[in-house]
Amino acid sequence: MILDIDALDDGALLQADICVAGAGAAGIALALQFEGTSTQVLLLESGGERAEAATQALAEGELAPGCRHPPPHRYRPRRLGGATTLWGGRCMPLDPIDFRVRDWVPLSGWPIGPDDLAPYYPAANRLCEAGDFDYAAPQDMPPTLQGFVPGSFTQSAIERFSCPTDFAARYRLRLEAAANIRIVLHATVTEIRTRGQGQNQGRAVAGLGVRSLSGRRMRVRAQDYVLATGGLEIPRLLLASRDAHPNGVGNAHGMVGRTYMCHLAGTLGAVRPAVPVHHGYTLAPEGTYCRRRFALREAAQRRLRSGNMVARLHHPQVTDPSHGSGPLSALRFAAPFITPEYATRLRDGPSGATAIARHAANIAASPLETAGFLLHWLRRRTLAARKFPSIVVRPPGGVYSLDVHAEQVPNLDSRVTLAEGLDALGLPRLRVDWRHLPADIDTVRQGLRALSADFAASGTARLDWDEDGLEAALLCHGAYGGHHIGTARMSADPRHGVVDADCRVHGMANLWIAGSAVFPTSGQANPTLTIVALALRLAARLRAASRPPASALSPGQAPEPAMT
Amino acid sequence: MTAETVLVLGAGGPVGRAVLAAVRAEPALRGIAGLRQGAALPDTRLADATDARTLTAALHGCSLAVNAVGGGPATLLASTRALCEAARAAGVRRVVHISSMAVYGGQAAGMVDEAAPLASRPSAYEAAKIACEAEVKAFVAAGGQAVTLRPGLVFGPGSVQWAQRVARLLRARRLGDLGPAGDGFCNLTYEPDLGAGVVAALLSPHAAGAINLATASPLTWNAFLVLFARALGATPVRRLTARRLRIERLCAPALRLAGIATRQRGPAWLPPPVPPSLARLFGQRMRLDPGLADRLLGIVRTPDEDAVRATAAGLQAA
Repeated sequence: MILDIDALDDGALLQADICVAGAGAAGIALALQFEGTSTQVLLLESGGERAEAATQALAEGELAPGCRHPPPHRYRPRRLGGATTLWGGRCMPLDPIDFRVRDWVPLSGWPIGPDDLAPYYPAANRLCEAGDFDYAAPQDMPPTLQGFVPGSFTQSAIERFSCPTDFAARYRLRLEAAANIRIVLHATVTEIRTRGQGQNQGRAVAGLGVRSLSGRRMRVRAQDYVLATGGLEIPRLLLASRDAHPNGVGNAHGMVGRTYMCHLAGTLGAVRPAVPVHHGYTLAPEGTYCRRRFALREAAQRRLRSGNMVARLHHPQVTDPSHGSGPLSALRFAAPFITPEYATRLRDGPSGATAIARHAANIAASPLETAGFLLHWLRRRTLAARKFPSIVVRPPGGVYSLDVHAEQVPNLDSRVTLAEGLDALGLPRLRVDWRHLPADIDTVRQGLRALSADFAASGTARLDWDEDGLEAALLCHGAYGGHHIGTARMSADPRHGVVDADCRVHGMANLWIAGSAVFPTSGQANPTLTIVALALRLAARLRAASRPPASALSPGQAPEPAMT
Repeated sequence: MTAETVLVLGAGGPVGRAVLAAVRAEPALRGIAGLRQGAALPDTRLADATDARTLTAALHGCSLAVNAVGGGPATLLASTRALCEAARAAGVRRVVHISSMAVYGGQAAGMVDEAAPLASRPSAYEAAKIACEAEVKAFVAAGGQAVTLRPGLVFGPGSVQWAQRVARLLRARRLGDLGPAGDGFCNLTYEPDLGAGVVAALLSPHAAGAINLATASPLTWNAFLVLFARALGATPVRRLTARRLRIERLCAPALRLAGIATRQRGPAWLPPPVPPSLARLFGQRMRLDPGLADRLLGIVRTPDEDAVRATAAGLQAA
């Protein structure tokens, strides 16, 4: 069932077996695993069913001086569905090397391996509606570059696209019908209260404090608590909860909020193919859009001592009218109507009257192509349930750019902390100090050199790029928006992370974290699929734990979980 | 050992054909086809299933009978009533009545076993199925032996409703991935599994009362439709918008009327409707509990994936 906090009595005590804070990809995926079971799940969502400015303002924070990062409230919709109401839908699993200890990547290595996550990826793929869990290009999928010979890179890996699935819209009926799942909207968790005596003081969650902008205050008591509020809000709540932990819950070793990673991404270079090109999408039999990408192979990463990276052929920069493309110029004019999170790259570059006139001239020179593009967009994107994932335009001059997406290595100095100010509910605001290291830029540099060599060796294309301007090109839009990784990282040793291999907060008996906050390293993959897979794994852990029903709990006595 | 003779009523229909095939494959049974019309072939008896007098004659020498008669509500009820009366008159030892999961109604949800309440606000078809079961109960109360099987959607190459119609809609891309509208469970009963269930119900001394007959872990409708479409080669499977499904619902009455009006001329070109009842079924989160069938009948069910592929292959070959 789904209800609003205003439908509950002020000061009420809500009880459940499992309380999940945050109804985004992780929270909804996790809750659905208990659908129809006897486990009572309480899913708390700070927002409502629509975007609300006042609620979204709760996520506002500050950036450290010089920090090239989007404002903290961007890319984090506070509403049922969370960031899935905004995401682009790109899915791929992490690569095996992403889990490994790499001696050239500080703090690398997950305490779990790819085999631990493998059982959960197919179901995660289904929840994300990304089709079959098969990320190898099928034989009949046209190559990006015909005749390309794998070297450091392969073009045999694909990415799949979700609809993109808004988890709220998609799973609302099931959540509403599930008698054992309660979703409370406009319920913001503002405090983690701990308990325990003697040496166990503070080592279990006793309850959560919940508040709403309408003035309601609630208490929550459950046997297990899962934080699934995203890679920025999770450390914020942990750091702000200090009843028995002066530095915040789970922060005995100062790791909460550290090693904050996004991805480095950018559109750069000029690729001049010498062979037939297919840089668009292919529909898989089950109807999902798929696309090949150039992926830096594991052996090459080891040889280059670099991070992970992928690249895709891309259209030229939209804002530069010299591309001569009517469809791209039409997009330039559409920029004001596109959500800010996706319009960043449509707003830089030339913008004067001359540029506008040249864009108009591009459209006038190719009216049929432009109209065809817009019609395709209307039919296959705007009106479609499974949306065409992105703009695919063949550049008139045959010169493509490269869209790169690369790993950031863990950096203890890249972190989020609490700021001085408070939000409307009294929770300290967040301060983001996202940083990058030379190694991050070097991953792309090494990768582009290797890709250029692969192109040359196979005689399929020529890649020209400005090596000196690489850092500026990768950082012109700052941290890749929406990928908030590593702020409550998973580690076997409590000194090096916040959660253990089961995603339980080190030193806490019944507090768990779901989301990309627990990723120890970022890999090259967009995180949503792995977030969902980890949530399913966590749900399996929680399902395996036997617990008395919530109805058996007396208001003052939550059962004492086993200490580990 | 002498084989017991079984009259399978409704043997001309897809369900009856599947049942007859299974009965005839069982050495302990001799299957007789009960048909409304047709040639008087060996092991075939012609009878009006709604007429107890002619049915009694058709049951002569049969110790067992299976009610697989299809049709509208009136036919279903009349034939069941007639069979119970004729079975008493002809001294039939046991009747196996093929009912349907429809008796639970469109509002049922969750895991549904045989003790679950029947539909409280049934449609005409559901009401007829419930009334048929009541007739069978009365037959048992009067001293007869009967087993009522409640299959899910009987599925196989011969299934007009669930295979042929759905295949047509998938090929026309009018069905596909339905998104939130297709999260209901698709409780399939594969034709050979129904046949095996009937044979077990005829022979098992412990079988009695109502028994669900469906897959243990049903696919969702979305998963079924995508799987079926892929097996048919109706790819890429289309994701349908809610808007498109609304249009289908709006068009359904007109298509149905047109279908009735043109039925006599037998045109195959008229597209089948996607009626609101079907749309509701796509979203129904009900699973038939097969536990009792496992305990009493002990049949080995075909995995849904295999059933779907075999059905698609059967349709392609037809």
